[in-house]
Amino acid sequence: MKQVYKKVLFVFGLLLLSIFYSMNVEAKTNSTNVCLSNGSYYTISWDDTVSTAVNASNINSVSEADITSGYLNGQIGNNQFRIFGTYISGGCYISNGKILSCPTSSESIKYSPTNLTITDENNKYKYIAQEPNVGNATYTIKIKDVYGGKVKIRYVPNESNLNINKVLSTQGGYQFIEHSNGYFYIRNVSPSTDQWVNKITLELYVDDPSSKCNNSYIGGLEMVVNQFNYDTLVDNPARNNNNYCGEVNNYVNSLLSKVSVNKSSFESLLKNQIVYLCYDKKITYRNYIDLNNKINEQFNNLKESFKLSDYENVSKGNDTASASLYRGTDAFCDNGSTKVIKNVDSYSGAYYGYTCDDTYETVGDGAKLVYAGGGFKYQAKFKVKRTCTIFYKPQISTVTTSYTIPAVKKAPQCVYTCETLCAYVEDSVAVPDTKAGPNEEFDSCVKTCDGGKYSQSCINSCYNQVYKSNRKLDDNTKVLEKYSLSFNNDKVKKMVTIVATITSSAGGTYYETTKNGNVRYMVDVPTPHCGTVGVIFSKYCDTNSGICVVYEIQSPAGCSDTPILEYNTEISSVETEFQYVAAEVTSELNTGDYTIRIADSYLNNNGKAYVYEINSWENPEILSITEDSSSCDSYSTWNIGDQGDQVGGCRIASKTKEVTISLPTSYLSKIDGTAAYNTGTGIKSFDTVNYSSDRLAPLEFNAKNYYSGGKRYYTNVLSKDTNVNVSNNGNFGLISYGAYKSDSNKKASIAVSVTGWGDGEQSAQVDCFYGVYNDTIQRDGDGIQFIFRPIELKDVFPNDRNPRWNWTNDATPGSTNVYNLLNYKVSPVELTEQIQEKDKKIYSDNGEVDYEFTLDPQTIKKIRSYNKKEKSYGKDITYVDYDMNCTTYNGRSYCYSEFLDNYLKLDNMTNTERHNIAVCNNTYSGKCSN
Amino acid sequence: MNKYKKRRLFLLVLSIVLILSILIVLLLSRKKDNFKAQSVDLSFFQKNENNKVECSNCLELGWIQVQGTNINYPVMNRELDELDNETSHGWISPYSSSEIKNTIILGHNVLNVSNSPSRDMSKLVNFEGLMAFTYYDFAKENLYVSYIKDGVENIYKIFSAGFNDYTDTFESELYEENGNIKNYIDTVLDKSIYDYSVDVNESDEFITIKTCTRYFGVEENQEFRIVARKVRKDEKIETYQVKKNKNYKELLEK
Repeated sequence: MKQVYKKVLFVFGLLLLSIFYSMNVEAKTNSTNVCLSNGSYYTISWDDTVSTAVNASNINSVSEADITSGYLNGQIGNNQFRIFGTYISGGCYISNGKILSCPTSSESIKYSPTNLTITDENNKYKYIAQEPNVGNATYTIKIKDVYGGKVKIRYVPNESNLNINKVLSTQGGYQFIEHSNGYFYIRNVSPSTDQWVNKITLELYVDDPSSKCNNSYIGGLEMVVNQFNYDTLVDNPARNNNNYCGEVNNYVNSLLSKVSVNKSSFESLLKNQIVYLCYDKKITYRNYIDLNNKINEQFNNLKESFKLSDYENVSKGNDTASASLYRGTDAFCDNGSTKVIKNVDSYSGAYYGYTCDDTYETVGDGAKLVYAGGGFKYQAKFKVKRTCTIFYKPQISTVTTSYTIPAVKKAPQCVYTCETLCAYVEDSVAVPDTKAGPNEEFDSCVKTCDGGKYSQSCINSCYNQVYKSNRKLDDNTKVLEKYSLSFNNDKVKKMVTIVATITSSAGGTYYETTKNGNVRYMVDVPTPHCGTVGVIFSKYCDTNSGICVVYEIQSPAGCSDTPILEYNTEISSVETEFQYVAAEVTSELNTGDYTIRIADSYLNNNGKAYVYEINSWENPEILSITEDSSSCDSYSTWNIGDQGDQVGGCRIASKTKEVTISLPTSYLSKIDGTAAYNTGTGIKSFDTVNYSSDRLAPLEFNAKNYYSGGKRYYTNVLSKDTNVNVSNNGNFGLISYGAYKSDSNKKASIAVSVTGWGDGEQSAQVDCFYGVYNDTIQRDGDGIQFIFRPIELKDVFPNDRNPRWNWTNDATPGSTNVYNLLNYKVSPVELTEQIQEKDKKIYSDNGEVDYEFTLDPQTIKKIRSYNKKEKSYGKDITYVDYDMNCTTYNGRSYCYSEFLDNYLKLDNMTNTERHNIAVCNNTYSGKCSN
Repeated sequence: MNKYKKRRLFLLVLSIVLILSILIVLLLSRKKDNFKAQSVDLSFFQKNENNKVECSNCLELGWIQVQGTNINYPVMNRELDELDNETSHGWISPYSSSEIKNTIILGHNVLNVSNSPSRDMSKLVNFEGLMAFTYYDFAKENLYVSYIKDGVENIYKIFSAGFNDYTDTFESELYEENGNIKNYIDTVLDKSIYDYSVDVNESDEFITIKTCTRYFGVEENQEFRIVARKVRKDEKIETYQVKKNKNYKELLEK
């Protein structure tokens, strides 16, 4: 244990020893202030234990870099140094053996920076001014030299953002600032802003070679740069500068190129009110500091208010635009409508214009049954709506804008002043008020006269030419300068009209005799607007080719002698043109050719579509024609004059004409299953299977004759996978409608195109009718689906529902296919009529009833059980299976469902009864009558 | 006495006579250089009441007269357009400052701008007569300026006459802004073509009269001016010495 205590005491002792040692070292450090011979002032520290004591003389030879670097360790002469130097700003000097710091006490007072901070009665610096430079939105800081030229100043940029990348940081740096004419100047100083305060630190130094402290630092002064007044107008750097305004200029020029009326006003509006930041010479400082964004705002506003696309109509001039043929989007009989808008007429006058557009609308209608098995008929509506819009050109077409430009401006009344100009007079002498000598014209004259030697003769001559006194200082010049053409041109070009020329005092009245004896006369000159003007003309001028002209100056620019008359005349012109345009619009609405030509592209002949024309409104195929009276959809009032004159009227007027027409009715040929059309004009045309000849065969139409569809049937244009692609060799395939549309061979379709529709020669196509081949009724998978539905017997095909193929064809038996029916004719039309005639009475006729059964609870239960079992059959098909039990009877195969026997207990039916029901559509009392 | 001795005696006497003659001439000429001031009668400073300037928006601030010249005109607050005799005038320079007591008055000179200016005052108007100070015999005879302001006439002694480049910063401005009157005095004395024996110091009040010239051509931008200081209290109005200096000699060489 004692050993442990000893160790602790030993360590403690060592610790105390080290502390004492360090205290001892600290105690040996000395320092002194040293003034070097060059005026540098340092506090030098050294360690007595390792360094010689320091005084000025023994370190004068030491490099200041070594001292200021803070460390010198080495031997100089016999001295061993280890010192540490700290620079004392301002410097020093030695007086009477004492070290004194710079600047001197008197200099410190006399050159104190605070001398600059004296304020006046308004609490503003008396000697520091910040003068705004509107050219580049900076300040020039002007500091009065209150130190009698004995001080120089530099500024130290601070860390303010305004000093970064600004002129200020690089302009002065640490150099002494400009000093001239008793002022110090710091130029191009960025102002403070709401976000940044720009501070500048001034450093003052003695600038007196006679002073011991010359170049010594005196002191510093921090000053805050003013903010620019946001409303101060400064030079606009964006003006004529494509870097700022290239896009704006292009846009404005494009707009201006599209207007012709009141262009100057429009230009003024754009450049002075909308995007003025690109055109004004001066802008506010508020805009200056955010110029790019402000220009973008104005540009966006410009583009929003004046869309280039809105001005296209304005540039069309006075000619009526010719409408071009335009093929609209196809329509279908079954659904929808298509619209096409086409310009049919345009007019552009001096103040007003109009444009008329036709809106063509094709509305297809669903196919309607004519007779069961007989075909279909279709309807279509062709609608034309003509809309005419009047636009007021000074208001720039139909653009809706808050900027209104009156077309007519009343000119200001002209005011005339008459002035006299003589060859030897000049109205005024422009001499700067800080100079008292001749003007530039005089100097120029002398230069021309004697090369600028200022001979007295030339001085006299030019004096009389340029100034208005007839004087000379010697007798060398006796001739007054003659009236010259150049003189005339120089002066007269500023005038409006020279109304009189006076070359003699003859006829004048005595006016005065001047001191030099020159007699002057007053010549009265009548003027158109100023009455009689008196011109003073001297006898001296009579003999010296003097000349005076009297001229009128008309003002202001653009004035008129009869402004009211001119204004009213132009207003009348505007009103007259509006009336003209309105009348033209009315006429346009009441004209137009609505002849409809129908072409059947399917029934082409030698590559030409079969065309028949409906050119009479009496034609029975025209179901209806409606034509409304023209109406005004929108009224407007236009400000046409700056004196409050307005024109009001209909701006948008329209009229609609609608024709409903029955398109060709289709029937089927009983001979070969081809299709026939009843055009309604006595022409019947037939489809043909002979594609090579495109034969057309006429056929007397008789709805009571049932035309065999043969291997084809007819269905809705949009039926899925029933459109057929027929090849020349008779092969075909069922294809989708989309595939059909892309197929070049559309012979299975009847496409009805309509041309010559309206003034615009509008055409449209309505795809309505399809003949579709199918030589087999058996298909697997998603083959032909039998559609069955409960019907009301008295109306088998309600609402003109389309009959399907089996209601449009004879059943044609085949010898090998068990599914083929017997070869007897079914007349769908007659059959339909019979069914509808019997109606519910058919159930009370035992001969018509093929079979009957009773649904008791037990039977229903069995059927439900069956359905559950069959639900998964055929994927998602329910209730349908093909559990047909086929057998041959009487040479014909027939099939019957075991369902009837198993579930409905019909197993007591004979095979004959089953056969007849299966193969005969008109079985009566179990017998087929064929 | 032989012939040889007579000749030597004659030469000796002749030499003595010549030496004495030279001494007499030198004495006489030295006596002539001893300038003696004589009192000056200022009765010629008679304000020309007929010279009334009528103008709109102008104000007559004073009346200037320069001894020996035609300059006997009102001093307006601004330059007038007219140049003829009836409207001859001077105007106060915008750089004048009552604070520093240097009144700068400008006046037109258009017709008398050559390097041989006229001194026929009967033909001169405005400040054209100022150019007569380019002639030494004129300058040494005409030493005073009268300026009437607020009904009080003050007399000034001319102490500088010379050319100045008007594109330089105006001395008056320097004078004002530096607050250094001595600088201005030194400048105008340095540019004077004569040395006037006039004591000038910073406590004096000054008047500067300027007009334009093409004495050196239009490119040199020169104006001509005389500068005078106010006659001090108890100071006699008398002639004083005027000497050509090196500037005058250089002027002649040009």
